[in-house]
Amino acid sequence: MDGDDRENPGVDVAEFLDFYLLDSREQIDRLGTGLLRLEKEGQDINLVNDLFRSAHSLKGASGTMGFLPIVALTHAAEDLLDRLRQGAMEVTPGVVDVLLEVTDRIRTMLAQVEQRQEIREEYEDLVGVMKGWARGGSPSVREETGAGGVRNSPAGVHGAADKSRSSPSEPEGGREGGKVRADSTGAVEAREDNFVPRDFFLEAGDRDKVKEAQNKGYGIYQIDVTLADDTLMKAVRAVVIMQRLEGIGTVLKILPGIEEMDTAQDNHFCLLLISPEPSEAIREEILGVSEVAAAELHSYPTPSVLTGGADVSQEHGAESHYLYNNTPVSAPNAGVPAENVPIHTIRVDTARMDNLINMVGEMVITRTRLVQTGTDLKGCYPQEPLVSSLIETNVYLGRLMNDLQESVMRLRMVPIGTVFGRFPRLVRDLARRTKKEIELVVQGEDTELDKTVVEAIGDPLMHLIRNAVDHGIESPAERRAAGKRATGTVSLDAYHQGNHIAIVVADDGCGLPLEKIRRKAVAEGWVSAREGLSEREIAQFIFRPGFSTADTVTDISGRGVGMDVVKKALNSLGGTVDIDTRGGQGTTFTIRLPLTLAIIQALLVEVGQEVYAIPLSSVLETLLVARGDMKTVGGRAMVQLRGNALPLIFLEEEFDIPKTEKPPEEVFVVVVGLGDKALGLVVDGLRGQQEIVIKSLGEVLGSLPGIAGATILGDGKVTLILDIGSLLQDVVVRR
Amino acid sequence: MAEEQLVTFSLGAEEFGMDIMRVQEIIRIPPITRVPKAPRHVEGVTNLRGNVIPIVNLRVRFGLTPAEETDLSRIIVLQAEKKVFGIRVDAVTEVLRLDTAAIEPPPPVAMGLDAQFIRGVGKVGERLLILLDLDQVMAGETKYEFSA
Repeated sequence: MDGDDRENPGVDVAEFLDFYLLDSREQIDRLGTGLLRLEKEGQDINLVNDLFRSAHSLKGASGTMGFLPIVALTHAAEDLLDRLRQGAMEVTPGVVDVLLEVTDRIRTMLAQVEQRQEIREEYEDLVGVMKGWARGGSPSVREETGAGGVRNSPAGVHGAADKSRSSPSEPEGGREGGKVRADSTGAVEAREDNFVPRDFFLEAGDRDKVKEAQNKGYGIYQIDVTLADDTLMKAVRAVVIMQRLEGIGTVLKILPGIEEMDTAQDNHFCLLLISPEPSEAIREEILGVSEVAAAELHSYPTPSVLTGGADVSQEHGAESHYLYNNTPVSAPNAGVPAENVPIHTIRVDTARMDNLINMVGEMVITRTRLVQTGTDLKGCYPQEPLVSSLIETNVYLGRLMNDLQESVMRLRMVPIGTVFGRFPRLVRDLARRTKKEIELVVQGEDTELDKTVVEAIGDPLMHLIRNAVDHGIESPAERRAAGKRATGTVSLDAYHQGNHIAIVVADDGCGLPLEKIRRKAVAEGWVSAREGLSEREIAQFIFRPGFSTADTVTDISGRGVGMDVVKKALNSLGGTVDIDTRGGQGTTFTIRLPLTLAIIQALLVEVGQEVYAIPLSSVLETLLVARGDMKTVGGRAMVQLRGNALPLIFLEEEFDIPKTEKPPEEVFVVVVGLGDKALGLVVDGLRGQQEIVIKSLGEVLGSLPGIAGATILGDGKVTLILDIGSLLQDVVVRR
Repeated sequence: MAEEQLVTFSLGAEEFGMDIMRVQEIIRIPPITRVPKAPRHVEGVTNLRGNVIPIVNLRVRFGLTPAEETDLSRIIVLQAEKKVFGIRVDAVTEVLRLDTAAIEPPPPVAMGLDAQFIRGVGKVGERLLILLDLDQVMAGETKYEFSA
């Protein structure tokens, strides 16, 4: 079909590739989520229209870039969507499957494009399937829906592109004998159907103005003005009109330019106006000028993505313009989907942002040194007012630094929804494959956390969800037999909890097979058969490497890889995972993660000659304990704390720290905990609390057990940061 | 005529050569923080202008007896791929150019060192320089040597 047009239409592809990829991925995402909604909510005309639009602009952009396989796929998908729109076809899971497959293929293709590779992904088969369906009913349907003007173009490829190129100097609206169409009585705005927005080749500044106007809710109008045939000084008329319009708004652009107008054959010109006034008033203003034969006003479509059509005009050679999408969009405020809402964000290269954060980190360290110097000076010159002034200034600087740091940290925070977004599709596919009925309930998508955490959390979450679907939720028959709703629920929730974020993955399935896990643990020699274990402790065994109780290996999960990887990944982020399981009622995994990974409050502790930092967010309290009060239970030292036995870890032993000569009678115990697990760390002294910047130990060392990273203290020395998550998990597993 | 530019340093009685392109800088011994559970030859980490870098003790790495720190002791900061790390040496001796023709393949058993670390032996007049293969010295090795 579209394959015979092999020519890349003269666009310097490389220059626009990034924009193209960005835009296309957005469209694909929109298609993906839309399709899932469509399946859930059924035939919704607005939704189908949205999908159609996405497919269409994807097609247009891909055509311009010359990526024909993508064009072929989107074209066929468009036809299919069109049939849905006409009501000629039903939305069935099969249709959604195929359309989702299209998005997958295109995603793969885009990845290949990004790698600067040929597109190798197969597509003919899918196109064949879709074409078959699209033809299924009345073939005439396709002809009628050429309204957008797209299918008329012979290849159907460069639809959006062709149109803007074909009419650089002839606004279609005002031609064809209709020059007086909009005289003083003519209806102006209603004629959106024949209206084709001009491309005004806006520059960045103008585009900003358009956005601003949109935000203020001003109208943005394309005005086609036709002067009387015998007008002598056309340019003067145009200037007069412009001046009048400037009184009620801002004229962004006039085409052709004023200078060219006197020589132009055409007595027609076109304006782009931003104005808060109603269109009636504007038109009156224009028609008030003599020798104006007609004026047509149209709301000018302003897609939120200004790169929309990703089209480049050849006439304008090397100059790059981001054009408005030519897809007809109805007037603002006309209930058009969120596409028209401007997004007040800029994209920043993460490397630049990390650099900024590093610098703030260095400043925090430097400030700590300054504070130290001030304190030292105070010791030497307690009476000196200059010293007091220095200390005061330091306090103020500290406050500013805190604010700065917080703002910078907030830059790194992204909503976890970016990760959650991919799970509805996952669950749907898994459910279909396992023939289960599953509903995914997602909450707390707006909860923000550090970019690096968000990036790293995806895979562990996916594992948990797969497990929930595969092992957790029972088949509909089993569920009915157990007196439950046939449709199982998997829920995903995220919320803040103090300095941490909690992410909960829960299912209402059959729960973990605790007895089976216990037998397995005994068989593996992890625990003796007689040892009494709580349910929670038994559940923890699933985090052991190599653990799997699945009788049959499915292709979804149960290959004995997984949960230990999940645990490791979460530990490396300074987090923990907890299991709560009830036979026949379901399993809940609660993940706790620190909000940010870059700058934290820490408690510095001394052990022998060494200093370690403990993230303050995990410190519950500190105790002074006499050695006599420590008991050894099952090979682990314990201390009684308000009636509960608190397991202890001697950092000295844990880290092979050279022992102090004479052990003191009393030691400090730092009680640390995450969730409902707690642990006492035995140290020699407390040095106080300080802000530290977390630095990685680097690739050479990789990750070491019990150590989360390093930091540089005010004196320039490196101090290691304890990984409380992994220490806690160790204690639970080791006993 | 091809030649190599080398930074030479000593460990005990032996003299070693390191490709100058790998050398980022040479510093005096800074305060070093021991890292528990790290491989034995990783002496610890230090602060290099705000970056935490590991310090490898070459004597331990090569199985030589440890030596006292002296005024001549130095850390050579090296770059291998994107990893930056320091190696502790007894002294940095000089920077010299060596004709590639003067480099011989490593002898099977070289001065009691594991031959895998040696890229070749260079002759400078009467002196013999052991040319280190940096990638082998660091080669992923450290990651698999947890003492735990």
